[in-house]
Amino acid sequence: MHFYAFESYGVGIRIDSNRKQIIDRVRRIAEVSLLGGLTDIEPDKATQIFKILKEKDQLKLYLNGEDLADTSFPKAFYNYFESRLRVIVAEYAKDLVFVHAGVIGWKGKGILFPADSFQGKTTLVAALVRRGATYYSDDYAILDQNGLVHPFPRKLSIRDPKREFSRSNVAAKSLGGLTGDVPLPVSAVILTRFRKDGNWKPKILSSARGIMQIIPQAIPVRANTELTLKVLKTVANRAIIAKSLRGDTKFCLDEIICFLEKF
Amino acid sequence: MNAIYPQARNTDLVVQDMPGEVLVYDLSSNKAHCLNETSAFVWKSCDGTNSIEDILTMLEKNSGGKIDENLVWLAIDQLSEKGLLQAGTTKRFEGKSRRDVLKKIGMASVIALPVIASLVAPRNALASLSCACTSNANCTGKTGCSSTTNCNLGVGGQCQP
Repeated sequence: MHFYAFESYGVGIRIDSNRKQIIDRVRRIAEVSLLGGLTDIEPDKATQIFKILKEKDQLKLYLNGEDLADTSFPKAFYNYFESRLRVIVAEYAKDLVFVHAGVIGWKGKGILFPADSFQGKTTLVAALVRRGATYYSDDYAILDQNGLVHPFPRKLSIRDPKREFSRSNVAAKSLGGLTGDVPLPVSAVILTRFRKDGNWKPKILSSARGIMQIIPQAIPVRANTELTLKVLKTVANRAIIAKSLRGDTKFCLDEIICFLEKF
Repeated sequence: MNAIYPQARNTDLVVQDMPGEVLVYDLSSNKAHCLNETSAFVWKSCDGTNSIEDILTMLEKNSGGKIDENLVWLAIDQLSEKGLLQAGTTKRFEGKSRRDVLKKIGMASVIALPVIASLVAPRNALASLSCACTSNANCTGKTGCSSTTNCNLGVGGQCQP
Protein backbone atom coordinates (compact mmCIF):
# COMPACT_ATOMS: atom_id res chain seq x y z
CA MET A 1 0.00 0.00 0.00
CA HIS A 2 1.22 3.52 -0.84
CA PHE A 3 0.28 6.70 1.00
CA TYR A 4 0.52 10.47 1.11
CA ALA A 5 0.03 12.23 4.45
CA PHE A 6 -0.22 15.98 4.79
CA GLU A 7 -1.74 18.77 6.82
CA SER A 8 -3.86 21.57 5.41
CA TYR A 9 -5.47 24.31 7.55
CA GLY A 10 -4.66 22.21 10.61
CA VAL A 11 -6.35 19.06 9.33
CA GLY A 12 -4.19 15.93 9.13
CA ILE A 13 -5.10 13.87 6.07
CA ARG A 14 -3.75 10.60 4.74
CA ILE A 15 -4.53 9.03 1.41
CA ASP A 16 -3.81 5.35 0.99
CA SER A 17 -3.84 3.55 -2.32
CA ASN A 18 -2.83 0.29 -3.90
CA ARG A 19 -1.32 2.23 -6.84
CA LYS A 20 1.56 4.70 -6.66
CA GLN A 21 0.27 6.54 -9.76
CA ILE A 22 -2.94 7.28 -7.91
CA ILE A 23 -1.01 8.76 -4.98
CA ASP A 24 0.94 10.96 -7.40
CA ARG A 25 -2.28 12.13 -9.03
CA VAL A 26 -4.16 12.90 -5.80
CA ARG A 27 -1.13 14.71 -4.46
CA ARG A 28 -1.29 17.07 -7.45
CA ILE A 29 -5.04 17.43 -7.00
CA ALA A 30 -4.61 18.30 -3.31
CA GLU A 31 -1.94 20.88 -4.07
CA VAL A 32 -4.11 22.64 -6.64
CA SER A 33 -7.40 22.26 -4.78
CA LEU A 34 -6.06 23.47 -1.44
CA LEU A 35 -3.80 26.12 -2.97
CA GLY A 36 -0.53 24.62 -1.85
CA GLY A 37 0.57 25.19 1.71
CA LEU A 38 0.42 21.47 2.35
CA THR A 39 2.79 20.21 5.00
CA ASP A 40 3.94 16.62 5.00
CA ILE A 41 3.15 14.84 8.27
CA GLU A 42 3.75 11.43 9.79
CA PRO A 43 1.04 9.05 8.57
CA ASP A 44 -0.16 8.27 12.10
CA LYS A 45 -0.85 11.98 12.73
CA ALA A 46 -3.66 12.03 10.20
CA THR A 47 -7.23 12.13 11.51
CA GLN A 48 -8.98 11.82 8.16
CA ILE A 49 -8.07 8.78 6.10
CA PHE A 50 -9.00 8.41 2.46
CA LYS A 51 -8.42 5.11 0.70
CA ILE A 52 -8.46 4.78 -3.06
CA LEU A 53 -8.36 1.34 -4.59
CA LYS A 54 -8.09 0.45 -8.24
CA GLU A 55 -9.50 -2.98 -9.00
CA LYS A 56 -9.65 -3.86 -12.68
CA ASP A 57 -11.19 -0.72 -14.24
CA GLN A 58 -13.05 0.30 -11.08
CA LEU A 59 -11.93 3.11 -8.80
CA LYS A 60 -13.19 2.94 -5.23
CA LEU A 61 -13.12 5.72 -2.67
CA TYR A 62 -13.41 5.33 1.09
CA LEU A 63 -13.26 7.91 3.86
CA ASN A 64 -12.50 6.71 7.38
CA GLY A 65 -13.72 3.27 6.35
CA GLU A 66 -16.96 4.52 4.81
CA ASP A 67 -17.63 3.60 1.20
CA LEU A 68 -18.05 6.87 -0.73
CA ALA A 69 -17.80 6.12 -4.43
CA ASP A 70 -17.23 3.37 -6.95
CA THR A 71 -16.95 4.08 -10.66
CA SER A 72 -15.09 3.33 -13.85
CA PHE A 73 -15.10 7.01 -14.91
CA PRO A 74 -11.76 8.46 -13.72
CA LYS A 75 -12.63 12.10 -14.44
CA ALA A 76 -15.82 11.90 -12.39
CA PHE A 77 -14.00 9.98 -9.68
CA TYR A 78 -11.21 12.52 -9.22
CA ASN A 79 -13.65 15.46 -9.39
CA TYR A 80 -15.64 13.82 -6.64
CA PHE A 81 -12.52 13.06 -4.61
CA GLU A 82 -11.44 16.68 -4.90
CA SER A 83 -14.80 17.94 -3.69
CA ARG A 84 -14.76 15.56 -0.70
CA LEU A 85 -11.20 16.54 0.14
CA ARG A 86 -12.12 20.23 0.24
CA VAL A 87 -15.18 19.49 2.34
CA ILE A 88 -13.14 17.57 4.89
CA VAL A 89 -10.64 20.40 5.21
CA ALA A 90 -13.46 22.94 5.40
CA GLU A 91 -15.30 20.94 8.04
CA TYR A 92 -12.38 20.28 10.37
CA ALA A 93 -10.06 23.27 9.80
CA LYS A 94 -8.44 24.35 13.03
CA ASP A 95 -9.71 27.64 14.50
CA LEU A 96 -11.27 28.67 11.19
CA VAL A 97 -14.80 28.61 9.85
CA PHE A 98 -15.29 27.89 6.17
CA VAL A 99 -18.47 29.31 4.69
CA HIS A 100 -19.55 28.40 1.17
CA ALA A 101 -19.44 31.85 -0.38
CA GLY A 102 -18.02 34.15 -2.99
CA VAL A 103 -15.73 36.77 -1.48
CA ILE A 104 -14.35 40.06 -2.70
CA GLY A 105 -12.45 42.93 -1.20
CA TRP A 106 -14.02 46.31 -1.88
CA LYS A 107 -11.99 49.34 -0.85
CA GLY A 108 -10.36 47.39 1.97
CA LYS A 109 -13.56 45.80 3.18
CA GLY A 110 -14.45 42.14 2.94
CA ILE A 111 -17.75 41.36 1.23
CA LEU A 112 -19.24 37.87 1.44
CA PHE A 113 -21.86 36.33 -0.85
CA PRO A 114 -22.88 33.04 0.80
CA ALA A 115 -25.00 30.81 -1.43
CA ASP A 116 -25.59 27.31 -2.69
CA SER A 117 -24.08 26.19 -5.95
CA PHE A 118 -25.86 27.38 -9.10
CA GLN A 119 -26.98 30.67 -7.54
CA GLY A 120 -24.60 32.76 -9.63
CA LYS A 121 -21.89 33.44 -7.03
CA THR A 122 -19.03 33.17 -9.46
CA THR A 123 -20.80 35.27 -12.08
CA LEU A 124 -21.35 38.03 -9.55
CA VAL A 125 -17.84 37.83 -8.12
CA ALA A 126 -16.32 37.89 -11.62
CA ALA A 127 -18.45 40.91 -12.58
CA LEU A 128 -17.35 42.77 -9.46
CA VAL A 129 -13.70 41.89 -10.08
CA ARG A 130 -14.06 43.33 -13.59
CA ARG A 131 -15.30 46.52 -11.90
CA GLY A 132 -12.32 46.82 -9.60
CA ALA A 133 -13.02 44.49 -6.69
CA THR A 134 -10.15 42.44 -5.30
CA TYR A 135 -10.70 38.73 -5.77
CA TYR A 136 -10.70 36.59 -2.60
CA SER A 137 -12.67 33.46 -3.47
CA ASP A 138 -15.52 32.04 -5.50
CA ASP A 139 -15.78 29.03 -3.25
CA TYR A 140 -15.11 29.62 0.44
CA ALA A 141 -15.02 32.49 2.88
CA ILE A 142 -12.41 31.47 5.42
CA LEU A 143 -13.20 33.28 8.64
CA ASP A 144 -10.99 33.51 11.70
CA GLN A 145 -11.97 34.18 15.29
CA ASN A 146 -11.43 37.92 14.87
CA GLY A 147 -14.00 38.01 12.11
CA LEU A 148 -11.43 38.49 9.36
CA VAL A 149 -11.88 36.82 5.99
CA HIS A 150 -8.80 35.18 4.49
CA PRO A 151 -8.12 34.74 0.79
CA PHE A 152 -8.81 31.41 -0.87
CA PRO A 153 -8.24 32.53 -4.43
CA ARG A 154 -8.69 29.42 -6.51
CA LYS A 155 -9.19 30.25 -10.15
CA LEU A 156 -12.76 31.32 -10.79
CA SER A 157 -14.75 28.40 -12.06
CA ILE A 158 -16.86 30.11 -14.71
CA ARG A 159 -19.69 28.17 -16.27
CA ASP A 160 -20.37 28.28 -19.95
CA PRO A 161 -23.76 30.04 -20.23
CA LYS A 162 -24.66 27.80 -23.16
CA ARG A 163 -23.62 24.56 -21.46
CA GLU A 164 -24.62 24.63 -17.82
CA PHE A 165 -22.17 22.02 -16.60
CA SER A 166 -19.20 23.05 -18.68
CA ARG A 167 -16.69 25.24 -16.83
CA SER A 168 -13.42 26.97 -17.41
CA ASN A 169 -10.99 28.09 -14.75
CA VAL A 170 -10.11 31.75 -15.01
CA ALA A 171 -7.53 33.75 -13.05
CA ALA A 172 -8.66 37.07 -11.55
CA LYS A 173 -5.83 38.74 -13.44
CA SER A 174 -7.36 37.80 -16.77
CA LEU A 175 -10.52 39.63 -15.68
CA GLY A 176 -8.40 42.70 -15.05
CA GLY A 177 -8.56 42.30 -11.29
CA LEU A 178 -6.19 41.82 -8.39
CA THR A 179 -6.10 38.92 -5.99
CA GLY A 180 -6.27 39.58 -2.26
CA ASP A 181 -3.40 38.42 -0.12
CA VAL A 182 -4.22 39.82 3.32
CA PRO A 183 -7.13 39.10 5.67
CA LEU A 184 -9.88 41.73 5.63
CA PRO A 185 -12.52 42.73 8.15
CA VAL A 186 -15.95 41.70 6.88
CA SER A 187 -18.21 44.69 6.42
CA ALA A 188 -21.10 43.12 4.52
CA VAL A 189 -22.64 39.71 4.04
CA ILE A 190 -24.98 39.70 1.07
CA LEU A 191 -27.39 36.79 0.75
CA THR A 192 -28.39 36.94 -2.87
CA ARG A 193 -29.33 34.51 -5.57
CA PHE A 194 -30.02 34.87 -9.21
CA ARG A 195 -33.56 34.70 -10.53
CA LYS A 196 -34.38 35.67 -14.06
CA ASP A 197 -37.09 38.11 -12.97
CA GLY A 198 -35.39 39.01 -9.69
CA ASN A 199 -35.00 42.61 -8.62
CA TRP A 200 -32.23 43.91 -6.42
CA LYS A 201 -34.06 45.13 -3.30
CA PRO A 202 -31.77 44.47 -0.35
CA LYS A 203 -33.32 44.08 3.04
CA ILE A 204 -31.12 44.39 6.10
CA LEU A 205 -31.51 41.47 8.49
CA SER A 206 -30.97 41.47 12.23
CA SER A 207 -27.75 39.79 13.35
CA ALA A 208 -29.48 36.65 14.60
CA ARG A 209 -31.74 36.34 11.53
CA GLY A 210 -28.74 36.89 9.32
CA ILE A 211 -26.74 34.18 11.05
CA MET A 212 -29.68 31.81 10.63
CA GLN A 213 -29.46 32.41 6.89
CA ILE A 214 -25.71 31.82 6.83
CA ILE A 215 -25.81 28.60 8.86
CA PRO A 216 -26.74 26.35 5.90
CA GLN A 217 -23.53 27.49 4.17
CA ALA A 218 -21.30 27.20 7.25
CA ILE A 219 -19.50 23.94 6.68
CA PRO A 220 -18.39 23.13 10.26
CA VAL A 221 -21.70 24.00 11.93
CA ARG A 222 -22.24 20.41 13.00
CA ALA A 223 -18.62 19.43 13.56
CA ASN A 224 -17.72 22.53 15.56
CA THR A 225 -20.90 24.38 16.47
CA GLU A 226 -19.44 26.58 19.19
CA LEU A 227 -16.63 27.93 17.05
CA THR A 228 -18.95 28.42 14.08
CA LEU A 229 -21.52 30.44 16.01
CA LYS A 230 -18.86 32.42 17.84
CA VAL A 231 -17.17 33.40 14.58
CA LEU A 232 -20.46 34.20 12.83
CA LYS A 233 -21.49 36.35 15.78
CA THR A 234 -18.18 38.23 15.60
CA VAL A 235 -18.78 38.83 11.90
CA ALA A 236 -22.41 39.86 12.45
CA ASN A 237 -21.43 42.33 15.18
CA ARG A 238 -19.36 44.26 12.67
CA ALA A 239 -20.98 43.61 9.32
CA ILE A 240 -24.38 44.32 7.89
CA ILE A 241 -26.24 41.28 6.63
CA ALA A 242 -28.57 41.90 3.71
CA LYS A 243 -30.76 39.70 1.57
CA SER A 244 -32.11 40.16 -1.92
CA LEU A 245 -32.87 38.38 -5.13
CA ARG A 246 -31.15 39.74 -8.19
CA GLY A 247 -31.65 39.51 -11.92
CA ASP A 248 -29.01 39.49 -14.61
CA THR A 249 -25.75 40.90 -13.26
CA LYS A 250 -25.38 43.33 -16.15
CA PHE A 251 -28.60 45.06 -15.08
CA CYS A 252 -28.10 45.15 -11.31
CA LEU A 253 -24.33 45.51 -10.88
CA ASP A 254 -24.39 49.29 -10.54
CA GLU A 255 -27.03 49.03 -7.84
CA ILE A 256 -25.06 46.38 -5.98
CA ILE A 257 -21.90 48.48 -6.13
CA CYS A 258 -23.87 51.49 -4.93
CA PHE A 259 -25.08 49.40 -2.01
CA LEU A 260 -21.54 48.22 -1.17
CA GLU A 261 -20.33 51.81 -1.14
CA LYS A 262 -22.59 52.52 1.83
CA PHE A 263 -20.74 50.21 4.21
CA MET B 1 -40.99 18.88 36.07
CA ASN B 2 -43.69 21.07 37.56
CA ALA B 3 -45.82 22.53 34.77
CA ILE B 4 -46.35 25.75 36.72
CA TYR B 5 -42.61 26.34 37.10
CA PRO B 6 -41.21 25.79 33.61
CA GLN B 7 -37.53 25.17 33.27
CA ALA B 8 -35.37 25.90 30.25
CA ARG B 9 -33.30 23.06 28.88
CA ASN B 10 -29.66 23.64 29.67
CA THR B 11 -27.89 20.73 28.06
CA ASP B 12 -26.74 20.19 24.47
CA LEU B 13 -27.42 23.80 23.59
CA VAL B 14 -25.10 26.47 22.24
CA VAL B 15 -26.48 29.91 23.01
CA GLN B 16 -25.45 33.22 21.50
CA ASP B 17 -26.98 36.43 22.78
CA MET B 18 -27.47 38.96 20.02
CA PRO B 19 -28.93 42.46 20.16
CA GLY B 20 -32.66 41.96 20.80
CA GLU B 21 -32.57 38.27 19.94
CA VAL B 22 -31.08 35.00 21.07
CA LEU B 23 -29.68 32.31 18.81
CA VAL B 24 -29.92 28.78 20.19
CA TYR B 25 -28.38 25.77 18.50
CA ASP B 26 -29.67 22.42 19.66
CA LEU B 27 -26.80 19.94 19.38
CA SER B 28 -29.09 16.95 19.84
CA SER B 29 -31.31 17.79 16.86
CA ASN B 30 -28.93 20.05 14.91
CA LYS B 31 -31.59 22.72 14.79
CA ALA B 32 -30.90 26.41 15.06
CA HIS B 33 -33.55 28.61 16.67
CA CYS B 34 -33.79 32.37 16.57
CA LEU B 35 -35.79 33.69 19.53
CA ASN B 36 -37.15 37.20 19.32
CA GLU B 37 -36.92 39.43 22.36
CA THR B 38 -40.19 38.24 23.93
CA SER B 39 -39.43 34.54 23.45
CA ALA B 40 -35.91 35.04 24.72
CA PHE B 41 -37.11 36.88 27.81
CA VAL B 42 -39.58 34.14 28.68
CA TRP B 43 -37.05 31.40 27.97
CA LYS B 44 -34.42 32.98 30.19
CA SER B 45 -37.00 33.41 32.94
CA CYS B 46 -37.81 29.71 32.93
CA ASP B 47 -35.42 28.72 35.69
CA GLY B 48 -37.67 26.21 37.44
CA THR B 49 -38.45 28.60 40.30
CA ASN B 50 -40.47 31.25 38.47
CA SER B 51 -44.15 30.53 37.95
CA ILE B 52 -46.05 31.68 34.86
CA GLU B 53 -47.39 34.50 37.01
CA ASP B 54 -43.86 35.47 38.06
CA ILE B 55 -42.71 35.49 34.46
CA LEU B 56 -45.70 37.62 33.51
CA THR B 57 -44.89 40.11 36.26
CA MET B 58 -41.25 40.31 35.15
CA LEU B 59 -42.28 40.75 31.52
CA GLU B 60 -44.70 43.55 32.44
CA LYS B 61 -42.03 45.25 34.52
CA ASN B 62 -39.55 44.95 31.68
CA SER B 63 -41.94 46.31 29.05
CA GLY B 64 -43.66 48.87 31.25
CA GLY B 65 -47.21 47.84 30.37
CA LYS B 66 -49.98 45.36 30.97
CA ILE B 67 -49.61 42.03 29.21
CA ASP B 68 -52.08 39.20 28.76
CA GLU B 69 -51.01 36.02 30.54
CA ASN B 70 -51.85 34.07 27.39
CA LEU B 71 -48.89 35.72 25.67
CA VAL B 72 -46.56 34.08 28.20
CA TRP B 73 -48.32 30.81 27.62
CA LEU B 74 -47.92 31.20 23.86
CA ALA B 75 -44.19 31.61 24.37
CA ILE B 76 -44.09 28.61 26.71
CA ASP B 77 -45.95 26.49 24.18
CA GLN B 78 -43.57 27.47 21.38
CA LEU B 79 -40.47 26.92 23.50
CA SER B 80 -41.81 23.53 24.52
CA GLU B 81 -42.60 22.56 20.93
CA LYS B 82 -39.06 23.49 19.89
CA GLY B 83 -37.62 21.34 22.66
CA LEU B 84 -36.13 24.28 24.51
CA LEU B 85 -37.85 23.50 27.82
CA GLN B 86 -37.38 20.48 30.04
CA ALA B 87 -39.63 17.65 28.94
CA GLY B 88 -43.08 17.47 30.44
CA THR B 89 -44.05 21.12 30.26
CA THR B 90 -47.82 21.47 30.00
CA LYS B 91 -49.07 23.33 26.96
CA ARG B 92 -52.08 25.60 27.16
CA PHE B 93 -52.88 25.92 23.48
CA GLU B 94 -52.17 22.42 22.24
CA GLY B 95 -54.36 21.66 19.23
CA LYS B 96 -55.55 25.26 18.89
CA SER B 97 -54.91 27.29 15.76
CA ARG B 98 -52.60 30.27 15.92
CA ARG B 99 -55.56 32.47 14.95
CA ASP B 100 -57.53 31.28 17.97
CA VAL B 101 -54.55 31.87 20.21
CA LEU B 102 -54.04 35.37 18.89
CA LYS B 103 -57.73 36.12 19.46
CA LYS B 104 -57.27 35.19 23.08
CA ILE B 105 -54.23 37.40 23.46
CA GLY B 106 -55.76 40.32 21.60
CA MET B 107 -53.88 42.83 19.49
CA ALA B 108 -53.41 45.41 22.23
CA SER B 109 -50.21 43.91 23.57
CA VAL B 110 -47.44 46.39 24.33
CA ILE B 111 -44.74 43.96 23.25
CA ALA B 112 -44.08 41.82 20.21
CA LEU B 113 -45.65 38.40 20.08
CA PRO B 114 -43.20 35.62 20.85
CA VAL B 115 -41.67 34.24 17.67
CA ILE B 116 -39.17 31.45 17.18
CA ALA B 117 -37.71 30.86 13.72
CA SER B 118 -36.02 27.50 13.26
CA LEU B 119 -34.01 25.59 10.71
CA VAL B 120 -32.21 22.29 10.54
CA ALA B 121 -28.51 22.55 9.78
CA PRO B 122 -27.67 20.58 6.62
CA ARG B 123 -27.02 16.94 7.45
CA ASN B 124 -24.07 16.74 5.17
CA ALA B 125 -21.81 19.61 4.31
CA LEU B 126 -21.78 18.35 0.74
CA ALA B 127 -25.41 19.39 0.44
CA SER B 128 -24.31 22.95 -0.06
CA LEU B 129 -21.18 22.28 -2.02
CA SER B 130 -20.13 21.10 -5.42
CA CYS B 131 -22.38 18.95 -7.52
CA ALA B 132 -19.56 16.48 -8.20
CA CYS B 133 -20.71 12.87 -8.19
CA THR B 134 -19.86 9.37 -9.29
CA SER B 135 -23.32 7.89 -8.93
CA ASN B 136 -26.94 8.96 -8.50
CA ALA B 137 -26.66 8.22 -4.80
CA ASN B 138 -24.16 11.09 -4.48
CA CYS B 139 -26.81 13.50 -5.77
CA THR B 140 -29.47 12.67 -3.21
CA GLY B 141 -30.36 15.67 -1.10
CA LYS B 142 -28.11 18.12 -2.90
CA THR B 143 -30.38 21.10 -2.75
CA GLY B 144 -27.95 23.41 -4.48
CA CYS B 145 -27.66 21.35 -7.64
CA SER B 146 -29.94 21.43 -10.63
CA SER B 147 -31.24 17.98 -9.95
CA THR B 148 -31.19 15.74 -6.95
CA THR B 149 -31.36 12.49 -8.79
CA ASN B 150 -29.06 12.09 -11.77
CA CYS B 151 -25.30 11.96 -12.00
CA ASN B 152 -24.02 12.69 -15.50
CA LEU B 153 -20.69 10.91 -15.78
CA GLY B 154 -20.27 12.13 -19.34
CA VAL B 155 -19.47 15.64 -18.09
CA GLY B 156 -17.01 14.45 -15.47
CA GLY B 157 -19.63 13.64 -12.86
CA GLN B 158 -22.20 16.35 -12.13
CA CYS B 159 -25.67 16.04 -10.59
CA GLN B 160 -28.04 17.37 -13.23
CA PRO B 161 -31.41 16.77 -14.82
